[in-house]
Amino acid sequence: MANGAADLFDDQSSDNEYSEDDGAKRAAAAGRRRQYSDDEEDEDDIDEEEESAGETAKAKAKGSRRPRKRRARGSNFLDIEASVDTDEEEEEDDDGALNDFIVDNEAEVASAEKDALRHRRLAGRGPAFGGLSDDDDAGLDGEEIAARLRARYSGYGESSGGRRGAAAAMAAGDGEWVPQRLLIPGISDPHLWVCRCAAGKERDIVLAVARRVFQWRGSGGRFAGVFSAFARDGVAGHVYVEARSVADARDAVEGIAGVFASKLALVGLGDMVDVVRVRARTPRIRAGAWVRVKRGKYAGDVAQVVAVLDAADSVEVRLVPRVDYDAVGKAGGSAARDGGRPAPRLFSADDARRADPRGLASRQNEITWRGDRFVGGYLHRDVRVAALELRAKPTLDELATFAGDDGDVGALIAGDDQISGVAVGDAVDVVDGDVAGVDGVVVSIDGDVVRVAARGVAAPMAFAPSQLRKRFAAGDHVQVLAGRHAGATGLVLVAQPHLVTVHADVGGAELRVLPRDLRAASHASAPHTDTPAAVGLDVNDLVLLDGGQPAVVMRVARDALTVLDDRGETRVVPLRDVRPARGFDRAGVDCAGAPLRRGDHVREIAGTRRDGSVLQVTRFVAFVQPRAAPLFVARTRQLEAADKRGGTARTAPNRAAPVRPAVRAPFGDPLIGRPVVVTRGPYKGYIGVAKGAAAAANAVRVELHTNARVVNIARDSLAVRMPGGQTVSVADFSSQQPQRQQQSNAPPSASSAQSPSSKGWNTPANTGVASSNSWGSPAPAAASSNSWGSPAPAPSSNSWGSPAPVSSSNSWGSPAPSSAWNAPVSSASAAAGSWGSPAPVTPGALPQTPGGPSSFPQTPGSLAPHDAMQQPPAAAIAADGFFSWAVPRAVVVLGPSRQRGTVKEVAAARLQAIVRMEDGSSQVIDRASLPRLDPQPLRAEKRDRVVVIRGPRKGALGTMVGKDGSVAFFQEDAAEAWQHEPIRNLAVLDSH
Amino acid sequence: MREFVTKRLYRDVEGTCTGRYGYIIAVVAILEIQMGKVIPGHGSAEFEVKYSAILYMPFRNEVVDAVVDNVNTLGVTANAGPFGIFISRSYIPTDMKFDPHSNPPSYHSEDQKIEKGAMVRVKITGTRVDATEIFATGTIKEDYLSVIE
Repeated sequence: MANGAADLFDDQSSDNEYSEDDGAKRAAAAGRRRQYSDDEEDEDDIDEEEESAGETAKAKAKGSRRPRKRRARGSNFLDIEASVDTDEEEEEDDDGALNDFIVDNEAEVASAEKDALRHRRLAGRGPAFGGLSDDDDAGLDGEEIAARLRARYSGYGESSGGRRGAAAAMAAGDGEWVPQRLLIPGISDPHLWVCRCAAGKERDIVLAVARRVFQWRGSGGRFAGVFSAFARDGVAGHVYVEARSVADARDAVEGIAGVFASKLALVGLGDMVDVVRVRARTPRIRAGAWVRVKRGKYAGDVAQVVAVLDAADSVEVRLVPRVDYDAVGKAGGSAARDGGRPAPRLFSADDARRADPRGLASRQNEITWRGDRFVGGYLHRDVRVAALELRAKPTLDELATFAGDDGDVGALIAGDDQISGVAVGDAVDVVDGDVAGVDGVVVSIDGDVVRVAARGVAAPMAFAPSQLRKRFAAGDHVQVLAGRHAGATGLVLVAQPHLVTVHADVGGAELRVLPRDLRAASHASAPHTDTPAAVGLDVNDLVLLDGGQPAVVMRVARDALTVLDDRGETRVVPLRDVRPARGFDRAGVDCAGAPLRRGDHVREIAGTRRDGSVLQVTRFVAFVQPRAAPLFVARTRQLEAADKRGGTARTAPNRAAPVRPAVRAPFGDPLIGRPVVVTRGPYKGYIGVAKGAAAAANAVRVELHTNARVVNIARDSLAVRMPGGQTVSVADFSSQQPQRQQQSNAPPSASSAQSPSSKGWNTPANTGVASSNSWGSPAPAAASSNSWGSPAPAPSSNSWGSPAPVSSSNSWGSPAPSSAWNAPVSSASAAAGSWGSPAPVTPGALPQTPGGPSSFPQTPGSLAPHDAMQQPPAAAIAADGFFSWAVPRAVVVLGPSRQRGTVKEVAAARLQAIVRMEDGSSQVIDRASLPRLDPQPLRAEKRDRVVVIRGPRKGALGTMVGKDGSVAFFQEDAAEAWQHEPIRNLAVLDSH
Repeated sequence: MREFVTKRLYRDVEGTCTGRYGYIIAVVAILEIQMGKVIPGHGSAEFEVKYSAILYMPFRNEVVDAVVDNVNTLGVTANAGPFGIFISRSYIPTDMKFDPHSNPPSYHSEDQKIEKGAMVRVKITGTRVDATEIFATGTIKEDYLSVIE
């Protein structure tokens, strides 16, 4: 049966009747078995053989009538109406199988009834009908028969122990017709249990259940409460058991291999009908049809149905084998194991003989080689219909492959059950049916009825689409509708019934097209369907060339594109070499590590410093459209964001498309290379080394010491192990790390504002000293650095403990100017935007206790000064970043080009400063230009003349004698002793 | 004025192609020139002219003589006056083989050779009539067709 259901018995009432009579038991069992194994004809026959052997001579007469009987047997026990709908739960039968039982006309019904009576008699009801010969049935008074029947079936509902619904029982008792839809199961009916099982084993399990039930039922009465077991094809891993109680159901399936009997679930009354309802009939499949293999080595390959095997359940298909003759010789080496699969090629007996002569056997025109059957070079296989995609429309290329080198494609196409694709106005040939050979024009199409005005026939005739084939003649002007050449128009050169050769209007190529893909083009050459548009390509779209090279479409021609590739070359590529870069990673990072997106205004940091807006961006290159110049391409790292919307704006939730962490990682994650301890989760207590950012946001790849495995662990589950042995939570650790980058020419990263995981971009300058105290930083810096170090500040609350991802967080804005050393370009500017808006944080409102709302663990050894009182209002921090340290004569570096200049005057109150640049020009730094210029102190080196810019000695002049890590030895002028001063507190002094 | 309109007519329509009538080879006679109408706001005038002309419209199954223009693996293109004809390889007699190595490339059999510049007699199998151009496919694979000396 197609759905794998094994009906234990289609008809329970008959069963019951049998059981009334002990003498009938054996026959009943046989009858049941018969019903169960309906599709196994052989067995069936044997059963009947047994049965008839055990019977009296009357059985012989029956034997000769078996074909009729077999049909009648079903109708005897089936409600005839059952054929209309398969709602009724007892008939879990599927398509086809049931229909075979249906008796169509009344005469047959009558004779079937007769047969049924006979059958009943044979089954052991001798006394009632014993005196009647076969032909006596006809002699019986009709009313008498009716009375008997009524008597027999009057208890239909009740006698079956209330199995049927009350309504059904009542109706059946009256002998009235009951609509099928009313025969729905009620609470007094057996229930349906669904049981999980190993996928693919459903059929075996059903059979095993059946075997077990039949075996035990006759003898011991065990399994009396089990009525049926079945599985649905579409529902893998589930077996249904119809039983009285859960115990019965469990009893039926327990112990069968592959059954998870513990997972037995009751199917609700309302769902029972749905479980057995057959929704869609399996599409009719017939020999010659084209199918596509769904899975396995031949996945996607077209195959042709050679024969339909038992009950349309599986088919024999032929396909072009993918045999790797060479791999056979290797020990156990198959091409599949090597990753690829061999190209499809018709089977070559010579090659096979060479590879494995012993595996080769031939019989007539059939060659068997290593268990596979080959006929005429094709591999023949029996495949279940479920494993095939029906109604495949093979392309011409596939058919050509199928036909082999010298095969006739036309002959193959002829075997196709044509999906003719006719439209109104098409000239068609009738190829099937009574009037095959007639040609005409399609007049109208109404669903599946195509009306054709045949030539020489007055009235239109109706056909099914599959009976028609489009008709073309040489010289017709046609347009290709589908396939590789879709949209092309041309003149028909050769029109074979199944294959049309078209001379393309453009390019003059010869296209071979299936008639179904063609349509007569209007004579005045209709405008071409724009093929690129058809595939969704347009100017300025990002595409991938062969080899994955990104490019931007500059011009669209009919079947070629002009593209600008990532090397800046303009190329013309055929359309087929291009695929749209959909779902492509559309984010890059600029030189500062800030994410680049389409529409961003950028400028080159080198060369001619062209600027423009990003038209398309990939991870590595950006296609930039200047306002009045041709598109150019640049590596993202050679670009900087020119619009000062800044980092914070970009991190607004609606724009915060995730940048790949792999991209973020390089920006000096302080954690990388550090010994870390896992503080939570399955790896708690493990020690390892942080290797880099993981793919998941906010996670780190940690190589565990214990087994050298690399695992991904969330940042907040880690603590950093300090050389001294104490551990510091990652957040605190990150916050302690000063930023080293101000001396490098690359502007500092702004990506920190974007990504929580890269918050620690401040690369450690000192691996040893890790106490924030040791920095002796003044309050603002320390406090704000706290807020950076937090895993992810919550948007509005400024609570740095919250692990929520960054949105337009205020606290991200704040860190930047907290110390101008660390201020990244764009976050500084972003801060400028966000200064005024948020309310200054109320001191004390910050959750600081580890047990507070923060889910962030505070390692006991944490040294971070969580002094909320020290947190100044964000505005204050942001406003005076530069002005907090700027002192006259300090050398600073300015702007994106990092030019040096010397601070000449500072008016901190007015937030203004004048810087004399090296080239002699002057630069005014004020609130407006601050974000753009981003002044940073020039970090001092040994023996530099320095000025202290922060801390208690601010303003003192002196010399840097040396340094130890991040601590400088500073000798103040006119002083003998050296002082310790953090390097970041020093700036080079302009000696002029 | 008449002279100007006449000249202008010759210049504008001779040698053009209309989808409806085919190529206008030559204007034979001007039958009538109506009164001109000045187009409002434009300064130019419009004259309706009736004329008779020699037209050339190829039809399917017509046999024409053409000059071979190009020879390649796909077939032969030829020009019959103003329009081009494509003769597919499948419509070239099977005994004529394409020889890419000859100079110029050609299709040739024992006694015939189709190369650029050769005259062929073609039967038109189909036409495509655009607004400004007519294109046809043809065959020389029938009796009395093929190269003419």
